[in-house]
Amino acid sequence: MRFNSRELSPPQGSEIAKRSINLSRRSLLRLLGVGSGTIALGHLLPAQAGFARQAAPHLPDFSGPAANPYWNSVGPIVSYPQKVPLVLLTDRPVQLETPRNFFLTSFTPNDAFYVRWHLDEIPTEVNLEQWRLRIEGNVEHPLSLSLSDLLTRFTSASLPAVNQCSGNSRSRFQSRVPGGQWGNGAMGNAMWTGVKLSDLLQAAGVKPGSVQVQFVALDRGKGPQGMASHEFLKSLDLSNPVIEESLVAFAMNGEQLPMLNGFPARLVVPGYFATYWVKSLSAIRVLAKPDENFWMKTAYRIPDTPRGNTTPDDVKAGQVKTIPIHRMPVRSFLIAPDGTGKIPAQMPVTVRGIAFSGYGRIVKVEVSDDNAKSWRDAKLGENYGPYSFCTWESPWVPKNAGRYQWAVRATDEKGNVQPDEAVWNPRGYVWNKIERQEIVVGIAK
Amino acid sequence: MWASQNESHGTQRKLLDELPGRISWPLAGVAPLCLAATTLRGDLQRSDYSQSNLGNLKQPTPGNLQAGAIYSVTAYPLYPPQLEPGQGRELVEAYCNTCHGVRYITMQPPFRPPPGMPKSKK
Repeated sequence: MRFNSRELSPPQGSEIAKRSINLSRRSLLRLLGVGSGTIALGHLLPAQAGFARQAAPHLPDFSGPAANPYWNSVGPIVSYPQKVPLVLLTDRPVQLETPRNFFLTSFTPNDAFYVRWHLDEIPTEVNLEQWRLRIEGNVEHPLSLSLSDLLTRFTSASLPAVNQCSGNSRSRFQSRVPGGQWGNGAMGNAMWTGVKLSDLLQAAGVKPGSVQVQFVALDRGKGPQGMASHEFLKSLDLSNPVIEESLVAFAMNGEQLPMLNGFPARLVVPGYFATYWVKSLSAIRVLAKPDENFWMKTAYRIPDTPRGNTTPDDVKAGQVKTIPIHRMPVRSFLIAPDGTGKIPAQMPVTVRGIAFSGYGRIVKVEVSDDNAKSWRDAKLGENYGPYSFCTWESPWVPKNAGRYQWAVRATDEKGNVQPDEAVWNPRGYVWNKIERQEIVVGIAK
Repeated sequence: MWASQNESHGTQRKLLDELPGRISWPLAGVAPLCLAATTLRGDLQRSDYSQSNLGNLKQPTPGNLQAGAIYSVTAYPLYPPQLEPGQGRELVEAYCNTCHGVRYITMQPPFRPPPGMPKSKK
């Protein structure tokens, strides 16, 4: 209902007015138990009750064929054990996206951390009397470690690191590509605590001639053994320096892992996309030959081109050489204001967000309120190391009413700057185009 | 000219402090409302409730935790979508529901498979 408050009743003859229940100033005073005239009420307004004009609107069930215009994906909000309400992509296996408002801080709460499983038989119960992490394969001394062993027999280490799904922001792709239609919320930053992977490998004694280390998890699919649909397996080259930085984490943000995020232990590969961060680990297997299972040889590969970019025509022509996906390109996000409300002109606001890179610490975040035509530096928040979210903020006093196209871009310590060009590859990976947010400013006088 | 926010609050507090001496206590409860009401101006829209809603969620229970070696959560809920009625819907629901839920279908936007992508054999 809409009416001018200086009038004591809605516009005459309107449908709304006919259905409204007006309480006069006098009757309101009676309801309050106060005699009329006791207190001068001046321009007291009529209280009103009315009936709905329309159903509450909601996002469409899916977006497309244009790019998803929303920050998050468009699925319903759902409830899961150990989780606050998150955005649903799929229910079996479970894929849940973190809503935008949880990215105002450097660390993402465990109960809001996004979830991505590949196979439908995922753990809901683990017996720690029976669970063991095996260090096996091409090693001198195979190990079988309980969680207690991990907690007490090795030196613990902690590391802040961003975990981001390879397909984060896939719903931005044009033309659209198959796969989980993530918005921007398939990412999170946590303080991971666990045992260094290199300490475990050293304890087991890697034999000469070993080339890779493979990670095995507790989840299973209904496909036959040896098929991708049966088991999710990922591997890293033993010569990769990231091995020295990786953790077998049994805690995130100072607590045990939520079941949906890989209880009792998961791999942490700082700077790398989350496909390598195998959840609910059951074995670490040293290989004498390169891993050629589906999840390495076929899936999670990007074009061997700058930014992993290619074209549908080049793919069709068979001209695209691919390599396993690896480090995360630099990204930044504007989190607030999120565009759900209008800002009065001349009101000071603080525009806030986060930035990160898989190549090292964030050294600069720039913002623009004129659609990336001019830029100014944002103030960076506390630095938690090279692989963490870095918060940023920029004070802003919009002088005039209008529609402002905000943009944000980050630069990492290796000099990588976010580009303003889209990426396209057939699997929908490594998106890092400059993000934009329209902020509407209204008249305030 | 308005005073600063704090000064404005201070003025209201001063008025409230003086109220007991001026009016009886039962009236003091409605006084803030009345004071607020006297300052209301503007083109408003109110009482816009809808008979429909955006849905609601039931909270998960924490489960029955015992001090043993078993660590568990309650079963993961399913949120199956309704597929459009049409020829072959039962086949789709049967075959495409084996390895994963059919939300994989409804999640996808309209798109043409990019060149080089294997076509689904499901």
